[in-house]
Amino acid sequence: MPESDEELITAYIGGNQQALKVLIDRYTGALYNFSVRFVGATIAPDMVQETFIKVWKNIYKFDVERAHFKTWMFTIARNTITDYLRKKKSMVFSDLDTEEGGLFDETIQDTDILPDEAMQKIQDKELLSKILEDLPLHYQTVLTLYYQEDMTFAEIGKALNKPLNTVKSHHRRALEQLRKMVL
Amino acid sequence: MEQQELGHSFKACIKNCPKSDLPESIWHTICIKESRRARGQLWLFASVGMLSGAGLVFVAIDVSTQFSQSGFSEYVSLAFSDSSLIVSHVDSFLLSLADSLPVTGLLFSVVLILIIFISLRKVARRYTHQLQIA
Repeated sequence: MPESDEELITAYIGGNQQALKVLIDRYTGALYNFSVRFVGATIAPDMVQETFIKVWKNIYKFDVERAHFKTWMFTIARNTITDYLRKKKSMVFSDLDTEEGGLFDETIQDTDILPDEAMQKIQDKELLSKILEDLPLHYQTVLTLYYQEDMTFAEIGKALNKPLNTVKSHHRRALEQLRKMVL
Repeated sequence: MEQQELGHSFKACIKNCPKSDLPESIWHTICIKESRRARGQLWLFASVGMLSGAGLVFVAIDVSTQFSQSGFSEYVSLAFSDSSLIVSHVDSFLLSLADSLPVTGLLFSVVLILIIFISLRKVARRYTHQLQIA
């Protein structure tokens, strides 16, 4: 039976070294996929490594009862990438936080933004990959974390340090753009 | 329904995959850092333990000197030789007994013994930790 992240952390703190290895194996791909969008394929492995080193250094401070490991880990990844981009004087996450979408956006339902025709076209993974790459970075990030990493809007908000409604708004607008690009 | 389908489509199009040896490389780096940290702590706690041990020797000598000078042993022997006198003046006897105790020296000894035990525990834990990593 696969162990949960929190069980693995408890095991690691209890002295089981291999538990951290399991977490590394489990999340390297997800963190790489997240990082590569911001820093590119050359730097992404360094970001992933840096994130895991920070996880290892701070794992004793992590409260398994109060937080989700995945959210905490992606928060660390986000901060690591922000630090790197800041050092490079490149864009930072806050530059990506275009606070478009107010109360009106937040009250609109996300469901059925994509009609059947769009949904069918999205099944083509090559097309979807290409379209995803053409989306603005903050939309890509929300879609990636929501659909590929199965994180909730609240978890994404915590990880990216954005209000819940902004995340929801980004998600809805991303789907709208996706529809426009597909049809 | 739409969400489920989107989830499947998005998962299917993950094409940013890291090199297969990346997890192993990260694990190796963490092991090196862990080993370095464990070694550093091992030395630190071993040094603290040894210094505390040496300090304890000096404190023990000092405490024994203070005991002999303070008349503590005389008070104790009085308690065995003339118990009726003790019973009649129990308050002043207890005060004198407490007054003759080298409190500071004893307190230092207890603290040092505690530090030695904590250091020994940490050293043992770090040592087993290092063995696990190796």
